[in-house]
Amino acid sequence: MILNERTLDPARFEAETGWALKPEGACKGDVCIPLPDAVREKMDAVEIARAMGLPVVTDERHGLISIGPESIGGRALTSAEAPELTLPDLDGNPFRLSSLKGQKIVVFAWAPY
Amino acid sequence: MWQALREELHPKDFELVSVGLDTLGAEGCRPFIEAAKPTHPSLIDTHHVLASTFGVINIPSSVWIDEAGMIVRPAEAAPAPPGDRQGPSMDLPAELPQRFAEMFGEAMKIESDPEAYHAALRDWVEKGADSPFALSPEEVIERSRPRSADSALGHAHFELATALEQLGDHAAAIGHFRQAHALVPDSWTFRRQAWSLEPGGDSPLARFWQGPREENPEAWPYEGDWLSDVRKEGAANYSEPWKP
Repeated sequence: MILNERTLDPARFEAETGWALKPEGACKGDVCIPLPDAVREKMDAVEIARAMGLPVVTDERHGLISIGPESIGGRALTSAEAPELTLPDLDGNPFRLSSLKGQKIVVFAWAPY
Repeated sequence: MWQALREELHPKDFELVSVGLDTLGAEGCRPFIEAAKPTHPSLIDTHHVLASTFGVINIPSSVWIDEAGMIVRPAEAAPAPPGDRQGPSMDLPAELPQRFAEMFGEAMKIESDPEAYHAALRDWVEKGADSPFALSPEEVIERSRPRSADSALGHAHFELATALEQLGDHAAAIGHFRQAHALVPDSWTFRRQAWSLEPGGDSPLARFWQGPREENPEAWPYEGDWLSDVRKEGAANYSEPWKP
């Protein structure tokens, strides 16, 4: 995820990375990574990411922080539970993948290049 | 066409969600989506979150998700339905530059098994969890792409590159695209995306040029390009073979 400031918005963090900040730590599916209280209290995105073992890359000139995905399980997926995914359509209207629950879905990736 | 397949299977509680991966966002995808007029959700993925969240490394590829929201097949190559021309359709100029002719020659050698893939898809839509093609949660995780700490870092570089590109800082973006290419060497999308943002002439196929320009080859900022990389890795290895 891309941030313009270090203060973390937990709702956005969960929406974009799938990691929910809970009392037991940062959790996705059955996996929880414990977070020290000192880190949790500050809600500093970079410190939380580092405590979770997520990679952080920054661009000072534009004030951008990029937080990469986890690699703890050694696989792209840490859980078979489909992550909540919200992406815009052509007109910019957000679409939530979870709105299709109850149907079988094929997510089909393509590119115009 | 995927669209026709979707219309056929939709009454069986099936939905197709197409996602266009493009740093240029809606503007890059618009002509193709407007021409296809999809009746299913058609979304735009500017930062390639499908790469970080699902492990997508190439296009076209798919992820199957069941009624309960469980992934039953992780990201894998998804050929167009049998009989279809693969890839987005467009009008080709009458006279193709030599590079394009060579690229099409290589593209023809890319292997896929649309019959097996689409028979499996229909079987799953029909039988659900009883289909042998619906994998267990353990298999789904096991079959998803390997993700090392380096690969994860490469994804962070890629996303930063797309953000910089959107801010108009192309030079800074190139540096992070290069890092992403080095750290995630199995991703074709990361390479193709970056290559497609370089000048490719003024034909409708410009974004497919993806390589050095004859008039100024030393200006090409990347280690590889589409034609060289496909030849180096072998067109037959462009997509991993589909595994039941």
